[in-house]
Amino acid sequence: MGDAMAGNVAKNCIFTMPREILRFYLDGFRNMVLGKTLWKIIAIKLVVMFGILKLFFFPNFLKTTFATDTERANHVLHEITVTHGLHGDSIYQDVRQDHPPLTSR
Amino acid sequence: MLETVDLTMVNWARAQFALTAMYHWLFVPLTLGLSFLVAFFETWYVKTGNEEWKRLTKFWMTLFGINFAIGVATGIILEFEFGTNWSNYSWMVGDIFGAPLAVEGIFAFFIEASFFAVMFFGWDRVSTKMHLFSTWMVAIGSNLSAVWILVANGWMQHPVGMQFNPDKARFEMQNFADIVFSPVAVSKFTHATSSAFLLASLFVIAISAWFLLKGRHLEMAKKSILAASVFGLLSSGLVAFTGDEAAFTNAHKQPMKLAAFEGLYKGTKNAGLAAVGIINNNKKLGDNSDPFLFEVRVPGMLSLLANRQLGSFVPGIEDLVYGNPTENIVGVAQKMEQGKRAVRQLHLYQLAKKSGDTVAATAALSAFRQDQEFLGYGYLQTPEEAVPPVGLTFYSFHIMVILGTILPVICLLFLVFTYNDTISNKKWLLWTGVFSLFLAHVAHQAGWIVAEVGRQPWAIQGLLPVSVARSNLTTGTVQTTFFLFLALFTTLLIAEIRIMLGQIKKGPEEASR
Repeated sequence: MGDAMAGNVAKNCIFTMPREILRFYLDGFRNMVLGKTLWKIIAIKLVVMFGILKLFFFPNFLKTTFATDTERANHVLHEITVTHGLHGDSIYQDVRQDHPPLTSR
Repeated sequence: MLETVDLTMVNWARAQFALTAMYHWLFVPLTLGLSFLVAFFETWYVKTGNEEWKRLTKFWMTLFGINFAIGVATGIILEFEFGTNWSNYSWMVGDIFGAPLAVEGIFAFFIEASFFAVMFFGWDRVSTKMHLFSTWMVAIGSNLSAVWILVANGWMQHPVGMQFNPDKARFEMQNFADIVFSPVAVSKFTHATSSAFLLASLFVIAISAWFLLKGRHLEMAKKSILAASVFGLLSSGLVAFTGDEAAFTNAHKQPMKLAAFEGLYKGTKNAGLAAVGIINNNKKLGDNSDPFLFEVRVPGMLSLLANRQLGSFVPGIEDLVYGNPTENIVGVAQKMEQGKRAVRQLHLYQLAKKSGDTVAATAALSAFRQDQEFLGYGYLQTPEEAVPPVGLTFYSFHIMVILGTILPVICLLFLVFTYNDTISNKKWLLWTGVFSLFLAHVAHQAGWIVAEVGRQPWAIQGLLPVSVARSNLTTGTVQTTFFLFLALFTTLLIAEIRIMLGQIKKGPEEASR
């Protein structure tokens, strides 16, 4: 009997708690005054950041230029050795001839 | 290929990063510090049951909310820039930064989604203690989420706990604790957060002083000043302590930065600390001209600051660039040789691996490991490139220190005169208080200039210069986004100031709605 009652209480809690939490948030948002303006600013900012800046101006250079991690690693290795590193080195000319810059897809 | 690289792109990318970081840092310290002050105010309300403290808490909480809403996500733009402008760097540090930044993101999300909502929506809907707990959790959570980005920054200044993987071109994490508890990371976090507390205290003092000047909300303003000035003074002590620790760490991990922010060209024993000075812009490394047009030095203090020992030797810029055998200091030229060897061996390793010559690959890798700690020096063309801009670093450091000395005095004066209840008569101090918020922001920005300009030319200290860390983009692309950001951030700043001023004008009765 006691177990059954405890079970009912637990079941009620499981069903009512999410509803209470949802109502808490909904009432909170509904009663905002200044908060509404701030949320609008946040929304506009996120749209500008992700919908415009990220999309059109800030592609991830390596992700959009190369297909696989191996290609990306090879590109960076080429950058830190041949492109920037071996300029003026005695093996520089050989390297340039043997290993032209990696082409991107 | 080197001939076609547009070198000015690096400078635009650096300017863009600096712009973003500096705007971001207008909002962040206020969030970090004000969250604690709000928690203190609310604790006092819960303890005394005095409704005046509740009103006061709600007012400052509203201003905290405005600052948070405007500033939130501005840091994400820095991550956009990493991927686009600094792709070599991003790739190389991905394994180190991935975990801390992911932790920060998850942590921030849960704090904001749960405790933030209770803090703003929960008045009269949850118990007083639950509300107070949420406010404290927001304060602690906001500050803890700053840990991770500062750990990442600390690692760039002092790369530890990692090993370079020559197959993947990545620095891979070997010891998480070494990275998190690196002395540079610890001093970065403690110095940045304590100075944020001081700035937030001055924010409260500035607005309260304005109320007193206007003869409005007098009791609330005085109560706020009392709490903020005590918090500001305690924070100032912490700022001084952590600043000393940061200088000591710089002396041992980034001695070039210390020499630059002190304008010390020739190392000496019993080195004096430049209290003020005007840098001689015509000074060249190695010439005999005086680096200062005017200077006031405190004898022996730099030795004490750098080594905690009076009379000890502090290396100057020329010692670090050209070497000083007497003091066992290796010059940049020798490090460049070792760096170039490391680059060469790394390339030979790649070639040997490609041709299936495992013996040659093993030999090249072994040779690379011997010189890998100087890898970054292999990309420098001249030893003098290892010197950061001395003038900017020197002036920024001294502006930070001078303001860092003045601001606690302002807090102390506010505390004394408010405690004596004579503050309302001290118009000069009230105006100083209003203006002190601007000074605090200047000190903060100057601090970051010291930290970031002072470590040039490195993106990762000694391992990767900024010229190699960047992507192959045209200058025009970066210029366009620079001005886009300038417009976006300026709009956000104007929005913040206008909304805040509106709420401040309304005062605590209206602002808490």
